[in-house]
Amino acid sequence: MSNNNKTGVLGKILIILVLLYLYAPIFVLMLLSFNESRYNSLPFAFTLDWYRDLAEDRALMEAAKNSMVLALITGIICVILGTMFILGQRYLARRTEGIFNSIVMMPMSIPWLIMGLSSLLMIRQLGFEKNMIFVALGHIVISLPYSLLVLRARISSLDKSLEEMSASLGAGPLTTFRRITLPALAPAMIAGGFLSFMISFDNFPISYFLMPSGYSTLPIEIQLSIKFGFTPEINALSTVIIGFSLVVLAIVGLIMRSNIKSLVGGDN
Amino acid sequence: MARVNLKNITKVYGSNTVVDHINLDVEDGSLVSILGPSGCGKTTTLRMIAGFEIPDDGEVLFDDQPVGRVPVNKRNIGMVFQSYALFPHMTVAQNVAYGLEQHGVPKSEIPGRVMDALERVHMAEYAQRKPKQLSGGQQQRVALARALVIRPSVMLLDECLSALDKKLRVEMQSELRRLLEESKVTTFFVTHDQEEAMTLSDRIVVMHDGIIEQTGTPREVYESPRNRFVADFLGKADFFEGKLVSAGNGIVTIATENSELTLTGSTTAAPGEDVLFAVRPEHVIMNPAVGAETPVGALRGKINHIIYSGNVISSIVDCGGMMVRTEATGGSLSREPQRGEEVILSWEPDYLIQLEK
Repeated sequence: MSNNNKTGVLGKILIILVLLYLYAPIFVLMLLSFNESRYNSLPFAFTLDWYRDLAEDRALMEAAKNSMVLALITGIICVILGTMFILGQRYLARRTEGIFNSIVMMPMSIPWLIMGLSSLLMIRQLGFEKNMIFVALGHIVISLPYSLLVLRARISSLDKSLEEMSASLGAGPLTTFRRITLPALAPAMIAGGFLSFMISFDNFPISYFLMPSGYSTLPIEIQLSIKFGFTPEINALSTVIIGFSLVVLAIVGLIMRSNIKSLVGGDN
Repeated sequence: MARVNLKNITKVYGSNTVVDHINLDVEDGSLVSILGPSGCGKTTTLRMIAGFEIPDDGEVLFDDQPVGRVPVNKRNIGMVFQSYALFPHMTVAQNVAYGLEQHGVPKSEIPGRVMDALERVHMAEYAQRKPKQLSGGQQQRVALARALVIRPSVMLLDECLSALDKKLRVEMQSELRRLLEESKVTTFFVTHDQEEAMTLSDRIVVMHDGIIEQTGTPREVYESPRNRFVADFLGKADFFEGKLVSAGNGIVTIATENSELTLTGSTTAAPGEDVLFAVRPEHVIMNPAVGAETPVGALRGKINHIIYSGNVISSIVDCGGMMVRTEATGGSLSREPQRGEEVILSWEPDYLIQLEK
């Protein structure tokens, strides 16, 4: 018993240390976004000035909008492509399936820096100007594997007999897809889309290489502002982003939970 | 409500012939079990009737019409899978309504027919539940209601009771039979459980390695199995194999590898032919051996071990190296058999079954 208690206490301390390690920097950043000092120095004095400045900063807001639009497009396209891919994959022979898999998952194992650089070189070689479409394409390539991972986990646990049952009850392939397959995949589509959204929203290297001049995304803007005079505005912005992510995560979590509950047997 | 004919249907996967030129004629409204061990091709046969698999050769006919080009959703079949495959995101009522919607039943009629179907399986009060809130037996009932509500011409049940525990399974068997007889629907059960096949169906089709070994009523298949596989798969059997020496006066003499056996019974084989006989263990009468004399046609041996399973006591008797199984219902024995005891085994002449070699 006492031995168990000891390991229990040790375990708790360890967990607290890990949590501190993971989240202390974020916590400090959030705290400093409410601090009056321009140079992030103490003592702490509460203010909302930086949030006001942020709202008035046209460049930063424009970059935020760009990032948001880009991430949304990436997320949506990744979900559509990913869903089509895993559905099509079910009709492939095992070997072909493996080959397709490796090709699509490859970008996960190539550093983004190299992906960005090589994409830039290719665009130049082909004689194109940099534009937002290429940025979006780049983001889709690197974000797709993440959507796929989530979707694949779901489809492999999806009972094929559900679709067969639907057919036996008189439903054509389209109805079966709409009323049986899609609802079963929905939670994974939401989660996968969210993951791809975050990957894109967060991405610096691809955007950095491919972004046409005059445009910017948040990661690029933040990088620039660190170079040319950091203001706690960035802290405020980061805090807003974190808050936004947490809200989205919570919503996704709720949707997933209710869906998983109805899909998996669970508590009977 | 259709007559079903399988004509020479065959399914090949790679170099593996899973179903090998099967012929089967099933009367309108009859209950047929396709029984066999796993891998015998029974599920593939069922899936070809359903239309999930297309035969590589041969034809499936519903009421003399070939259905080879008819897709699953146009065949008007009712299916129940082992996993039930209830749609998890729909309520019980929505699950049952689904097939009616697909069949273009007017919206105003659907709720009434759904409730009727649920009442027939005693699930009406669960109409608004989600499948995961139901027990296995309840899910089974909903799956049945969902299949029956569309008034299918053919019902196909794939190991549909296997997931239930023994007691519930037995309860469901009789209920299932009542429901199917009421609906007068032609039904195929696929099962590996001989007891299920016997209680549920009018006819049993025994499959093995892609071919049909025997077709008949449960009684025919059990009492007159055609060959060793059928005798062994349905129930238990003691086998006696050898060359026929002589037959007559209710006694058959065969020469086995190392001895001559006299068995009570008769045969159509001629002396010199290789023969195979079987006796059901419950037909073997075991008596204590008195004196050194062994009656003609009986076997003498020593009880090797005894298996007590409540209602049945099985004794494995060592008859000169050959193990013979006997079974007696618990109450029917005047005294408990003892291990090592000398016994005489005998049976009525009709119980010796001659099998195809």
